[in-house]
Amino acid sequence: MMEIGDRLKQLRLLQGKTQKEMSDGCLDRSFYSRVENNKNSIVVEDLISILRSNNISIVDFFNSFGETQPKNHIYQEMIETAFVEKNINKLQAIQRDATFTNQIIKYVAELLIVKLENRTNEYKKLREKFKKYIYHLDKWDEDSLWILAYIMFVYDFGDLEWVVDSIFNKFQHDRINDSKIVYLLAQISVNYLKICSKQDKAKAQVQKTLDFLDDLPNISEIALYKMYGICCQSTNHKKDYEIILKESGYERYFK
Amino acid sequence: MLELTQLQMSAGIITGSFYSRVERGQSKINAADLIKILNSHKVSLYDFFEPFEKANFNQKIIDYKIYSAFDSKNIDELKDIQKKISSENKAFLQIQLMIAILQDQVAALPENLRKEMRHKILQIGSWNKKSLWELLLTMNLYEASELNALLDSIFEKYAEIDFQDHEVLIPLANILINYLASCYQQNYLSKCQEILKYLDKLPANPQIVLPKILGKYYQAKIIGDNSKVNTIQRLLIKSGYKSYLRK
Repeated sequence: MMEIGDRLKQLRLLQGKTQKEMSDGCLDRSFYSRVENNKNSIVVEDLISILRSNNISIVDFFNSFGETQPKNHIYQEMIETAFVEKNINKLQAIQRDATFTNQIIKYVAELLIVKLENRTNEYKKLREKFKKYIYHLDKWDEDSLWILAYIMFVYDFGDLEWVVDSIFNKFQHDRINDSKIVYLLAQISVNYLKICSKQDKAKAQVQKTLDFLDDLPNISEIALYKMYGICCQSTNHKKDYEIILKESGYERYFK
Repeated sequence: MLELTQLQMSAGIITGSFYSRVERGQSKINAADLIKILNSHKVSLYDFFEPFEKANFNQKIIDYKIYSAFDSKNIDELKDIQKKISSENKAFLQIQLMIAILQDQVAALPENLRKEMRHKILQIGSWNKKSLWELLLTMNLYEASELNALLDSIFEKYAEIDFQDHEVLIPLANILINYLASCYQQNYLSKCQEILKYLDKLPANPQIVLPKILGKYYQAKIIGDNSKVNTIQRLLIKSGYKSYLRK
């Protein structure tokens, strides 16, 4: 079986480098040499710094050491589709799938099953799990934003207000280049607008959300969400816009 | 995310107390042990290590990024990616063509380059997400008759295309709308009606709302429903998608 040292050596030889060139600025050459020969083990931080300084993809490096296909993303998409199709069997299959171990994503599947089956008394138990997860987050990334977008409807409004505010503050001043992140932010904004519309005193929150949505870059993936924001703000043409979107098949977004 | 205790997570590969120190950043774990731990919990190494990646070198990721940047009309991002890859990479030529399309400069490309693009970019075996993206990119390079033939071959296989995958849906919907716009300009109205039927068959996913609405826009134009044409124009302009009306 290939070991870390073998893989380092293989990639070094592919680049035609000496051990000194490969380890320069990251590790002592003689230590590096012992790592290549599998006599010393290398800590993850040092390994990553060697790979970065030699322009080697970290994911590619680990190719022969295990599963290197994105997994979270695939299951997220499966859950989205199953939910749109109201396919409870498919959601249950994801929940039971032993090859997928991301428990928090499985809880999302569970919550959506509970929602489709209208067992609202079970929200509370799941809400606590999500609150705990979000409380311990150290940053908002693709995975955590995706989870929030799908579970925010079970949050208490007071808690949610705090969470959404922290997201708006974090992303407001960044120029966001990653279209996946933009998509999730737009989705969260629209979900939040829908939740606010059921609250009495959320006018300021609505305006803040509309402004945030408006500032997101106009990429085609989020056109539906941008249009939703325009519908909310328009007084004269709201009905006409909604008719166009309904005729185009997007009725369920306007319920 | 896995909902394990520190001891369960350490999986007998390292001690629970050492693992706890690693999580808190007080100790460093060696690479071989980390891999054993991740594998024992079936965590994808991609999901774990991708956030540490300096740039994305993986071809699949490059393809995904450029298609999504193209779909978002994000020329800056395309240029950024182009700088990072070699000119031998097929994506390099694709980005060049994408930028020309977004800047409306395809007609200005030299003929030999156009030819190279036609030959190298679109390689059809069957209609899947890859070949659909490639067709979306190159469709401006073809003569009307060639394009008709390509589209006919899509329509023949329409029932076999996987509409669930939005990476298939996005290029397909955009191909249809570009084709519709060009048929409309040539006043080839019977063809327009046919294309609209195919567009209607696509599921209403949020990612293809623009092609879907543009379909309604051309339909309203064909039947002369000016008030609808105006409403759609106003909606697209207000929400920031004016550039999609230019076709």
